[in-house]
Amino acid sequence: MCFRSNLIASVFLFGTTLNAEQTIEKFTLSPSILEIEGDLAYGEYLASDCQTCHRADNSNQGIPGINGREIKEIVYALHEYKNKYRKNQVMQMMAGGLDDEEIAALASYFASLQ
Amino acid sequence: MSINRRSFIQTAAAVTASLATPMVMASGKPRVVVVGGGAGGATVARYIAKDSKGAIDVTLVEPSRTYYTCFFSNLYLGGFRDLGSIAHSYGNLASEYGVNVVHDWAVDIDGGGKTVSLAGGGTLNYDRLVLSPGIDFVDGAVDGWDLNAQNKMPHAYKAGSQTELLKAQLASMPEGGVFAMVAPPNPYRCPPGPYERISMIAHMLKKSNPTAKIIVADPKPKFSKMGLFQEGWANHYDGMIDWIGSDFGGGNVSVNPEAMTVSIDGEETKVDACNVIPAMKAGRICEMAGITDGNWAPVSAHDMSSKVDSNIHVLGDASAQGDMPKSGFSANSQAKVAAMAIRGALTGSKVFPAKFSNTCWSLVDTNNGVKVGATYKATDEKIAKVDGFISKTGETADVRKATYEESVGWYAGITADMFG
Repeated sequence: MCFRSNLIASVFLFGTTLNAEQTIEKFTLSPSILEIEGDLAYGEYLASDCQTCHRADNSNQGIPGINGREIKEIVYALHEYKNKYRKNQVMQMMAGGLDDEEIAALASYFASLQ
Repeated sequence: MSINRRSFIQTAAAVTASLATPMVMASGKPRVVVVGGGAGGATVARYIAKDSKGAIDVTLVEPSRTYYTCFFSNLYLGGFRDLGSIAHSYGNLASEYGVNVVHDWAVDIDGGGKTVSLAGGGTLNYDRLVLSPGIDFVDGAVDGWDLNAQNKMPHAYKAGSQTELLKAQLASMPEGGVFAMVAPPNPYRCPPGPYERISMIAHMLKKSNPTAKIIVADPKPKFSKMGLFQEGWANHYDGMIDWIGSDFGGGNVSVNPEAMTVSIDGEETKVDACNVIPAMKAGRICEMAGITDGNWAPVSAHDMSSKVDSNIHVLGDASAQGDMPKSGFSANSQAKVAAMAIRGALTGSKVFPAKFSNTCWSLVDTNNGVKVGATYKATDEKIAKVDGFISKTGETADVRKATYEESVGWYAGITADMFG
C-alpha cells in the first residue's frame, strides 16, 4: 500500500496548508468508492493519456511503470493525488480531472496489464 | 457461390445498417491515411493500427526516414543530449503495428474524391484523412529573411539539419561575440521553446565563450513561463541576455543575412550568429486541402475533425482548436481522441467523451527544470481549459532536479508512445 499515515513536508489539504513537520490523518477512502467496478474499455481509453509518460512496456526511464499494480493501490494513489495528499503537480492535475468512476476504470485497466 | 458487386454492396449496406456501424467499405477494410509523422501523426497511426487490430488499413505519409523531435532539440543545443538521442525511425510502426509507411511528400488533397496525391506520382485513397503536418513559416514575416537565408540565419524550428547548423554557428562565434534571436509572434509551436533555447545557448556559451552576449528581439510583451525564465537568467546567466520585448521595440525588426546585421527599432547590430524564428502557419498541405481559415485549420474539439471537411482530421500545431498550446504533448493527446473517434466512425467501436492534457517541461540550466501543464475538455465551441499549474519561482534545487528528471522520463515515454 502506498499511502503514508504521516505526511511530512508542506502539503495542501482541503484548503488548509500544513507546514513542515506537521502530520495529517491517514488518508482513507469509503467502501463505496473502493467497490466501484471499473469499465475496462473506458479505462483503456483514459489510460492512453497516462501512457504518454508511463510507458506501455512498464519500464521506468524516469517515470515508473504502473502496469499490473493492485486495483486498490491505484485507486488510492489517484485519490491521494486528487486530494493533494501526494505531491507532484502533473499527477495532481491529471487525477484532479478524474471522477470516481474514471479512477476505477483506470485502476481496472492498469491492473489488467502485465 | 458467386456474388456480383451490386448484391455485395447491398448486402454490406444492410449489414452496416443493422449493426449501426457508420461506415464500412464495401471493397475491403476502411482506409486511414495520415500525413505527417510527428507527435500527432505517428501517435494517431499507431493507436488506430494497434486498437483496430487489423480492421483498418493505416498508411502514414512522411518524407523523412529519420524523425528528429523538436522537443528536446534545445537540449542538444545546450549539450545535454546528442543528436542521435532525439532521432527516431518508423521501423516499429511498420513491423510491429502494420502501418504502411510511405516516405514521400503529400502534394495535394482531393476532399471530394478522398484522395491524397504524392510527389512521387502515387495516389492514396482514404475513408478518413488525418493531417498532422506541423508548421510552415509565414512569407515575409521578418523583413529581410526568407527560406533562402536559412543557412545564414537558421530557424532551427524544425529539428534536424537546421538544429545542427545553429549549434555549429554558435560554436564558431568569436570570443565575446553576439548571438541574436528573433522570436515569433503568437500563436506558434512550443510557446516556451524560444526561451528554453535562450537558456540552453546561454548555458553553452557560459562554458565556452563566457563574454558572449545574447540579444532577443521579441514581438510580444510577455511570454510563456516568463517569470521562471527571467529568474533563471538572472541567477545563472546574469548580464548575458538582453531580452527586448515589444514595449521596447522588439517587434520592429529587420535582418540582413548577407551583412549579418539585425536592426531592432532602428538600431543596427552586427551579429555573429542569428536564429530567426518567423511567424508560423499550418503546414501547407492544410491550405491545399482547402481547410484553413487564416493561418490555421479550425477543428471540432470533439474529434479533431476539420470544420470544413468532416472526413479530414487535423492534429497538433496545424489545428485551431482553442485553448491548448501548440506542443508535442498536445498533439499526442489530440491524436488519441482522433484515433478513438475515427475507429468509432469506421468500425463502430465505442466512443467516449474527449479529454485532453498537456505539460511542457523546459530546462533552464543543469538539473533546473520547470513545467507548466493543464487539462482540457471538448466543448461545442473549442477545446477548453479545465485546470492547470505552473512551477513556482524560488523552488528548491531538489524540486527543480526532480522536474528535470521527470521531463527525461516523459521524453522516453512519449517517443515510445509515438513510435512504438
